[in-house]
Amino acid sequence: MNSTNRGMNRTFIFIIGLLLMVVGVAVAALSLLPAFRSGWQATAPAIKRGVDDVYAASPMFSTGTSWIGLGVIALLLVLIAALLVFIVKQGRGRTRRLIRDGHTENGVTIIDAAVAEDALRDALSDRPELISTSVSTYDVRGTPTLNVSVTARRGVSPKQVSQTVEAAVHALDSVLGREIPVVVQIGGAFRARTTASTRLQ
Amino acid sequence: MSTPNSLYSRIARRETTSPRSVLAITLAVLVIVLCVYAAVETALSMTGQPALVATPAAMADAFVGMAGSVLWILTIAGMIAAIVGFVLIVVSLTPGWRPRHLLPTGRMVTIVDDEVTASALARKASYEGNVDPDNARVSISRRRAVVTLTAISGTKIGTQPVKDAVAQQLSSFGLSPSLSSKVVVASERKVGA
Repeated sequence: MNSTNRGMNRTFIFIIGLLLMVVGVAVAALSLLPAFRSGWQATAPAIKRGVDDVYAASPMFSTGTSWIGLGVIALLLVLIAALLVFIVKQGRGRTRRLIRDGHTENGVTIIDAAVAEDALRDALSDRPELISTSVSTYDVRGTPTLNVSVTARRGVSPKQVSQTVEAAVHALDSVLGREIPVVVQIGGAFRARTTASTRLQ
Repeated sequence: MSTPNSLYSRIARRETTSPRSVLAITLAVLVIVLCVYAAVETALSMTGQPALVATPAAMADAFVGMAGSVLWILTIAGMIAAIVGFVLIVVSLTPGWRPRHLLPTGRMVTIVDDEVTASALARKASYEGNVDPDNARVSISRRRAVVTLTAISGTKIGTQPVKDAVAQQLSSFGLSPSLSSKVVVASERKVGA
């Protein structure tokens, strides 16, 4: 229902996994393959000297350090900011507006999501097969969509629950004069029984 | 605006698979911590302050000299990193099915938690097998529902009527992906209940 970018989640996990695997395999190869180890011992110091030279060739005034350190810190800060945005963007997508009708000569009609949410919650509140109902509205790719989440009582047929909700949704359709996309989630909140049930003879 | 059908199939797909958010956020937090540490260490070494753990230069030396350190530690550390990386890659590519099924309705998308289906089947099976609902156990996987009944001591459960009732109720739900059912009567029996 929410607008979490799942492709991005999976890409991020994939990249971290690939990095870990490549580094892990390289480190293990360093100890398991003598040829790789001697190659490493032959080339790694030279590469490090090259990096040191670049570092020394870009001095920052006369502070004894290099511009590169500042660049590294800036790069790390950018990465941190990007990751924070990535985290904060998860699970968004709620909306307050259900319908915004096109202009007529008399103006615009706007219907708040709360109208449909309250109507559905009210219609389902006194159903014996449901323990609780919560309704929220999400913006799914530009289409306001109602999310009806109900908790069914133990042993109730999900088919029956779905028919109950469908009747309420049809009633809402006729009130609003149009069909809003609806997603129904039927869950259970069955507490495990910790003691044996009482028997009466 | 998308058409209702593509909208509904998108929602159905997203609601039955895992967003992998928890793992992605955990990894992002770990990377952030590493980045903060690296930035602090770099800043300390630039201003000539003592390092928290090691200066960047010392770390680079250790990295270069890694091949000279204890080899079995390298092997184990490398293997652990490689295995964790492999698991992450697998997790990123598999759908991660959530314990839910779709129930066909014309007007809306209906998603049913498996525990609801299981408890409905348990009630049906316990009525049909004449045992207490607490003695009917149902476990549901993506394609299969297994009903286990424990009979009362000294009684027998007629398996066939239970099988028929469970199969009939499952097909009346018409869940997708469809579930096949299996009824098992436990070999032990229970006193009472």
